[in-house]
Amino acid sequence: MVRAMVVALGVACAVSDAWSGGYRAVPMPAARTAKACGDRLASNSYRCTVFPEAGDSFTDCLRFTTPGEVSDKFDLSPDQLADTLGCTCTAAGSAKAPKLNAGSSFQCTGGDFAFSGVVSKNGKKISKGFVGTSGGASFAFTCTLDPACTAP
Amino acid sequence: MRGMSIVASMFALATAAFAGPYGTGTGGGRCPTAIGNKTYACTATAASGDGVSDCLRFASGSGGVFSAVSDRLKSTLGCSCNPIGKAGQVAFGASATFTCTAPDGLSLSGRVKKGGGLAQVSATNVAGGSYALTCQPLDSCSVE
Repeated sequence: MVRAMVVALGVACAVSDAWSGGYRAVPMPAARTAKACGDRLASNSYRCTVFPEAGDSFTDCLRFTTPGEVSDKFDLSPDQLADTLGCTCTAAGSAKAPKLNAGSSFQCTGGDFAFSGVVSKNGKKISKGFVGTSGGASFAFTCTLDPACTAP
Repeated sequence: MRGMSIVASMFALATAAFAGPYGTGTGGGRCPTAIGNKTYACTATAASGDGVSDCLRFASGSGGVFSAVSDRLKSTLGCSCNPIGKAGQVAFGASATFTCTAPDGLSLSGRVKKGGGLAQVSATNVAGGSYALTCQPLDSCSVE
């Protein structure tokens, strides 16, 4: 119901704006829109537990930087990798009408590594974290927001 | 020509100087048998709307390892299926979603459907470029 009202209000505002010749007497409230992953990750640091396919789990700190230097969107620097990866958000929308860089999942690549995960709406958690390598190695990880994270 | 420039932009380079506890593996990785040794004819669409055709050729090796070759990129990507489960109870190679990574920082991901088709396929590069791919399984494929 609320969602329908927000959509209706957004449509009404768009129509009003389009046909008012640019003059708008009353400011319209912004329609609620989902944030892409880059907005949620911002320049946050996360404490993560990483589970290798073989071997013991370990802790890492994932540090995101927005805007990025490697990527024009945002970057990721895992402490334990000692490298900076370029990132983008995955596509939202449908196969016929994809909206690139608009999804809630991130994908970061660099060298032999690809890091991906889903960031929560409030940016406090990363779930379904996955690291794939060019050699086929796999790692799973989960993270919580921790600005003071330090890797051992 | 336009296609070549798109492919070239997918080749942004990066070098991992120190991998720490992240071992790169030795060609391992598992995948649903559905993807097998299939070849897919794909169209990659960039954010600009420009599209380019490509052929993705998956190959399963011994021990369940698998890889993909892109005709456009002319490079082999190491693949693995994403894990499922919770922290501490992770089942590797058990998901229908896969990630393939090239040594030059290109990543390809998608989901294998039950019939062997691909869905939600996307490619990203180290410069933050992203591409949405639509792919169809074919017996033979050639890039234009």
